[in-house]
Order: sequence, then C-alpha cells, then structure tokens
Amino acid sequence: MIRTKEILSTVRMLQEENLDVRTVTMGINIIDCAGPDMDAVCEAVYAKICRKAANLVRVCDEMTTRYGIPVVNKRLAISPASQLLGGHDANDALALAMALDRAAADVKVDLLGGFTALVHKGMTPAERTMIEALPIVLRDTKRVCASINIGTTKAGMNVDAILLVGKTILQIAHATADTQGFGAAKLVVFANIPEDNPFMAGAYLGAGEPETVINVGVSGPGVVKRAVDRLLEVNPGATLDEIAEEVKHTAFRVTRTGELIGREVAERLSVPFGVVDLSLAPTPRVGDSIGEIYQSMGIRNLGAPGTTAAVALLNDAVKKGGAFASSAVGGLSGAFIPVMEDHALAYAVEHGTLTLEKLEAMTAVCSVGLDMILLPGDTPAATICGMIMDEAAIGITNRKTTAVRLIPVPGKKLGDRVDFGGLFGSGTITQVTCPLGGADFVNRGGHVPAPIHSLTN
Amino acid sequence: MPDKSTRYVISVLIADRPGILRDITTAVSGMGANIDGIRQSVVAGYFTVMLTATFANSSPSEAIRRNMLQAFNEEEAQMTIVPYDARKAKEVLDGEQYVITLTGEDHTRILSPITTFLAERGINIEDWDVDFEGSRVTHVGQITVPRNLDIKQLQIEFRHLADSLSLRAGIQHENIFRAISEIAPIKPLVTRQGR
Repeated sequence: MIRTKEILSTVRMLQEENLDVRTVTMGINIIDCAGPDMDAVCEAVYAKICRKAANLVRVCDEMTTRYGIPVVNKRLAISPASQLLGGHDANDALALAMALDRAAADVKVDLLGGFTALVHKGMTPAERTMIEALPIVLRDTKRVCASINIGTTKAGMNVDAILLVGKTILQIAHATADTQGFGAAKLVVFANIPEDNPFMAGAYLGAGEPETVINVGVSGPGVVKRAVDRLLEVNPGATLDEIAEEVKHTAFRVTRTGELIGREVAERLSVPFGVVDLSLAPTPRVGDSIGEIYQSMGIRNLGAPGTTAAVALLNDAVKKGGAFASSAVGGLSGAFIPVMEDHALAYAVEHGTLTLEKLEAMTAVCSVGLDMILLPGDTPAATICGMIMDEAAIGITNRKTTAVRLIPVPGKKLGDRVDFGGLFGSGTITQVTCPLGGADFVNRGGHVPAPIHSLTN
Repeated sequence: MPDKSTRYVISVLIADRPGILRDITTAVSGMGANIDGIRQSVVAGYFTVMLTATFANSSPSEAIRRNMLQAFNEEEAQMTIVPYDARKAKEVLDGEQYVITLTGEDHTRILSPITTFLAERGINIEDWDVDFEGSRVTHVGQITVPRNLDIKQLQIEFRHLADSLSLRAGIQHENIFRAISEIAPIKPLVTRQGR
C-alpha cells in the first residue's frame, strides 16, 4: 500500500501547485520525404505526420484522465526542414511550411518545431533559403516554429550566419507587425542546440534520434516554490544548502512524473521513449513563476546582487534531482528565464532592477538564454547580432546550450508595454546599453574559432 | 471437533497502549505458530490488528482464543478467530489499482454515499484512511476498479457525487503515486504487467 502522506503530497502538487506535464512532443524524421518536386514533398510530409501523430493527442488525453495530471501541450518536432529544401526556393520553403502547419492542425497539436537550420560551421544553399524564407513562413503559418544553430563548442561560432539571422529577425518582426512582431517569438537562435529538446519554440529532431520518438517536458516552478516556502515555514533560518537539498528532492518527484507519462504514451503509441526534460518553465500565472522561487529564497528584488548565484543553485539542484530520478534525462533540464512568460521577471525588468546585462549573466548558469526579450522596433541588426554572439560565446565556452529569442517590436520604444496574451505573456520594451558600440566588431563577420577545450580527442 | 485447517485469520481490537503487538505475537508464537500476514493500525486511540498465522499442530480456534486472551486483562480485548479459507481469499477482483481522494469540510454522511457509489459499480476498497486538519477532512482510498469500467465516466460521476457532498474529489491510477514515491525504475510500471 502507498502511504497516505505520500498520496496527499502528490495530490497537493497537482491540485494546488500547478504541477503539469508541460509538453509531450513527438519527434518525426521527415528526411525520407525529400525530393525535387515540392508538391510531392509537401504531400509526403503531410501524410507522414498525419500517420505518425494521428493518435498522439488522444493518448495524451487518456493520460490526463488516468493520472489526473494535465498534459498541457501536445507538440511535434521534425528533423530539420532545411534538409528538404536543397534545389528549392523561398516559395517552396513557404509551401513546405504551410504543409507542416496544416498537418499540425489536423492532428490537433498546438505547435510544430523543426523549421530548423544547423549552420554552426557553414551554410548550405538550402539553409540560406530556409532562413531567408522565415519572414513569410512565420507570418503565414500559425503553428510552425523555427530554430537556427549558429555555434557549437566543437565548431565555434558562424558570425556570417549570425549577420544573416540578425537581419532576418528584424524582417520577421516587420512582416508580423500587425501582431506586434510576434513572428520573432517563434524563432530561437541557439548555440549547442539539443537534439531532443521537447520545449518550443526550439524543438527539433536531431540527426542521431530515432525515426519517431516521444520526448516529454515537465515543469513545476510552483511546486518548487511551495517546497521552498514549506521548508522556510518550518525552518526560517534554513541555509542555502538546505534549500538546494529541498529543491533537489522536489525535482526528483517532478521528473518521475514526466517519465511515467512519457513512457506510457510511448508504449501506447508503440514508439521509443526518448527523454524527460525537467525545465522549470514558467507561465504568466501567479504561482507558476521562476522569479517567485528566487524571491522565496531571499532575493527580494530580482536582479539584485546574489541573483545569479540563486539561479546557479536552482539550476544545479534541478539537474541533480532529475539525474537521480531518471536515466533518460535530456533536452535542456534546468531553469528557464523567459522574461515575458514570468510575471515576476517581467515586473523586475519593468521596474529596472533586472537589466539585460544581468539577465545575460544569469544565462551563464541557467539552462537557456535571453528568452522572450522585447526590444525597440528600431533596434539595429548589428545590436541583435551582438546579443546573439554574446549569448553564443557563453554557451560555446561553457559547453552548454544558450539561446536567444529576441522580439524587436515594430513602432515600440523603450518602456512601452506589449501583450501577446496567453502563455506568451506581456512585458516591457527594454534595450541594451550602448547598442551600436560593438557594431564594427560584429560586422567583421567570419568565424569565431572553437575554444581550446573543444580539442578533446 | 478439531479444525481441519491449521491456518487462522485473527483480529484483535483493544484500547491502545504500548506492548499490545508484543503480547499478541508472543502468545501466537508461544503456541508454535508462524505469523504469515499482518496489518495493524491505530484509529482514535484504538488499536486493531489483523493477522494470519499457521499453526504447526492442529489447534481448535477456541483454544487459541483462550490462550491469547491470557495476555490481556479481563474484557480488555475483542478477538475474532476464523479458519483461513483459501477459496474465499482468492476471489480477488480483476482490475486496476486507483487512488481516491476526497477533501473538504468534515460533515456527517460522507462515507455512506461514497462507499455505496463504489459498491454499486463493483469497485473493491483495498484500504481507506482519513486525515483531519482542523475542521477539514481528507479521505484517501485505495481501490480496485474492474477493467470493464470506463474510468473517464467513473471520474465524472464520482466528481458529481463529491460536488453534492461539498467535497473535492480525485480518482487517479496508483502508478502516479508509485512513480513519485518509490526509488525504483519507472519502466516496469508502464509495461502491460505493470498496469
């Protein structure tokens, strides 16, 4: 028999602390759909996705019923779409994206990731076509998400690609000006992109992955915050190592939930189970915030000295708890800091305690990067490129994933409010200090060599 | 007439105090019996235990009762002893294990409608526990649900009943609790045998 105390603890996590499975993401390899006739490619891609993912949503809903835990999002991650664009043009890229969008809608998933180009060492014509098509692709599709990997620890940083990407982000924002540049929120620029990340907008199916696979993303910042709060209620003088221990145990429990759901979905769909990614991904709801965890730990004003250490403590404890819980931990697995999606972080940015520069420091010790950052609409491309390069440098040098999701909002200036609604939240336009001070450096282009510690063989 | 079976099911009810289980197990083992199943709990200051014991020598149940009662003061303990019947004991329900939770303000007539609801659908209660926090009550039941029942429909009907009792209800498969509480691989829980 299971002990009553353990049952009640689990029920509390579900009913009061917003524990959920944030996403069950099915990876599908579509490389076998490539061909010279884009109509045929689109037909094959659509048919394959509809066949493979036909039962995904139904099975996820069965899990919600069986276990009483919400599977909030059901998503797809395909192998890089750029691999299907050899010999094709931007119109073909849009046709492919429309086919993907239609397939995603018909299998009733909310997002599809994998409109992806891996250009960390160099760029093929197909990848250039894909990147240049992004403004119309992200304007004309609803569910398609894009990602571009511009650097790895092994390859260094492709600055020529970054120059193209920076210009493209501005074009995407202007192409989607009627939605306040929302198209840019569907593009993530990575260094060391993970091949099994189930979270959007950066999910794609990597080259080493199975033909079809189920990856799961679990969240639960509310659960971690309440665990810290309960510890401090009992022991107001708890030390930081005691807090870390509490977070670690909580991360263990949350990760186990994700693995259970992921494995059972995979079993019912007769596809391999991939990874569980425990990433503390906030939503704009109060009680579902990363920033609130830091506040509970004692950082009254987010961005104050100590904030980066708090992020490091949290990120490390989450990883340790997850690693003990499951041998199938992957993806990003740590703490996200998407400013717009977290009301406490958004508040701190709005009130000036949390600056872009401090956020950048925090990304050196968390699992992702500058995520959902609203910039003035007239931000120069060189500024965006410089921000991408700085984040990539952190990731490449520290052998970790970093990413940026920057949204230059057309017509908006520093301090203006922007609201995307729903899970994407709202926030305030911020900007870097001295935006063009590094333009000459950035515009040199070329390649930043891989760091010395990449030479491990 | 001596009992044919040498295995008995024994239950004891008594006001709680230290040493009760010692007294019972000493008496049983003193008769040369092996205790091969036991469950004990204390509810509101009353101790209860149910155990099965196999006796090396064929012993009549009345003799066992007399022997065991010597460990207690006069009329201190209520005791029931019945022969173990393997045919009856094997009539276990073919189903899946779920956990029921009910939380809200305590009031009369909670358990009767709930257990009636379950019994009418052939759902077996394996374990039931109640926890109080001030005026609030939480019921936790571990149940076996027949495989032919539609769990979604069951949940809808159960929540409807709980609403009428001003309680918040949940029915969740036990694997979610096992996954979170046990230090063991998840994979066996989701194989067909694990379900």
